[in-house]
Amino acid sequence: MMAQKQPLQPLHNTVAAGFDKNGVLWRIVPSEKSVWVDSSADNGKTFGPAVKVNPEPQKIHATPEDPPQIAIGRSGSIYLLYSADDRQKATTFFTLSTDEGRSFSRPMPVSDHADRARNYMDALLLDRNENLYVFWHDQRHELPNGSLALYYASTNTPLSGQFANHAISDDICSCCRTAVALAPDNQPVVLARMVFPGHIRDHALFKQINATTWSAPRRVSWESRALDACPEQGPALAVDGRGRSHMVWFSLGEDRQGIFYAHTDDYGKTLSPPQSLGNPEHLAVHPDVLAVEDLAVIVWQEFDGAYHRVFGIVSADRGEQWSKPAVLAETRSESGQPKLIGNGRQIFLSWVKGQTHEIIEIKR
Amino acid sequence: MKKIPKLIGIASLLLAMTAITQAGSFRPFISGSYQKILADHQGTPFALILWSLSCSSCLKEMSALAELKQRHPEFTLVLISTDTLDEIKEINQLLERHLLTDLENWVFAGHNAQTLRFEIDPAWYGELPRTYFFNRSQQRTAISGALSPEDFLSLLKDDRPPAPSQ
Repeated sequence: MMAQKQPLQPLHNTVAAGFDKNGVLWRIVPSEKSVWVDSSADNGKTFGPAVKVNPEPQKIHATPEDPPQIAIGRSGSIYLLYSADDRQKATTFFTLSTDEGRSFSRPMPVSDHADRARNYMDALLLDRNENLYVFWHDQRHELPNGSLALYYASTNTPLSGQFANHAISDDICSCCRTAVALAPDNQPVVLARMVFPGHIRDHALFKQINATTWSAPRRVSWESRALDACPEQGPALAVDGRGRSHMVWFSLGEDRQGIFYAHTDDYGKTLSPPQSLGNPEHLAVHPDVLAVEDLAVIVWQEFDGAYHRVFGIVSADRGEQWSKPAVLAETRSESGQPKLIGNGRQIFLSWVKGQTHEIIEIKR
Repeated sequence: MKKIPKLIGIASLLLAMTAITQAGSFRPFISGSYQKILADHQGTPFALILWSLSCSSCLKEMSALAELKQRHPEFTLVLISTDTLDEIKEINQLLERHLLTDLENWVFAGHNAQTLRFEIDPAWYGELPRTYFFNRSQQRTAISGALSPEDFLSLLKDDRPPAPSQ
């Protein structure tokens, strides 16, 4: 096939990337009518030819808040989610490559209401047995407070295209992405912005207890004021190997607007005191967090009117103490949201700035 | 060869501008447009409303604006959609449904939405809807979140110096 040259002008600065077990970096890049997958053997310095994922052209949707998703299993299979117009204006499609990215299965909608209700804000998770979890916001339970329902499906036979749909919760803020991570007991944890009574948009943690049961939402943030507005800023979540959930989020509070960090060792029953991050005069936004063993890293974005900068802080003691913020990258061009990815040993910043996708190692 | 992408970029911008003209009286909101709006409305109290197709609270605001416009056609309302030019058809449909196409309508058209937002208000995180009320001397009050027709009435009629922007 003809090589698609490095290239790819990502739609609205959205790219998702992840490592396979051999340290090869894979990424999904959306364009107007197609989604593409390519890979890099040198941590993102150079990429090989891109493979087109969707056989027929589709109108692809991707925004910095709702980018496509990628996960690579221990088997080497590459799992993707992306959003495109179908019978509804926004429909989540799943596809999978079992031949190291040479070809992809026919994209299938994951929602069993895809013909009747929009679904978007996708998240993808593989458990330790490579069972697939897919999460999305579903318009089938839209409420007048501007909230949708959070749905998920899990399967160990994703090629079957059978995704039994289950609701986790109503009252999910429609315009903010939901964060997912895997707990040490091999069950998923979800951090979502909810719409509480009186238009309070604060965050709650959910944990799957067994194959069919989820915990009730445990509220973990209290900054927001009553506001019938879309913040378009979802939280981020990382659970370390000993079960500490590291959480970062954005709030439009009365006293303090901006981004916050807290952790919990019991999935939201008790919390560390929320710590504010970033320079509020420079619009600190879009935090991400990743944990590898005792190491935790947080990145976020600031804008001073001319430069978009990504700042990072590092903790070597599971989020008790943090380094001073350091500038990791900057640009004057429009940029995507900063994302953290790990290969099991190192943590990298993945950031689209201007028309380039940068992968920058974050030193401890 | 290197110039081709740039030319394609200009061509698609021109095409998009044509689409804008065909769809109604949409104006591309680019760097400098905010100052143009201020200059155009000097001496008149007005409301500047930023909204997006993807924002459910904004749809409520559209209904409020429809009612307000019907009851008080004398008020000056300026709308800016923060969506992209390729969504112009959907933007037009939504405004048509609320009989708002004959208002002054702008659509974000620059390549850097963050910079456009910053030009309007360096303290705005981008939450929508976002409404600015300008008095005669162009002092402004910023409010995030959907407003009722009554909110608009009280804020548009109030021509005293407003409270500092939040």
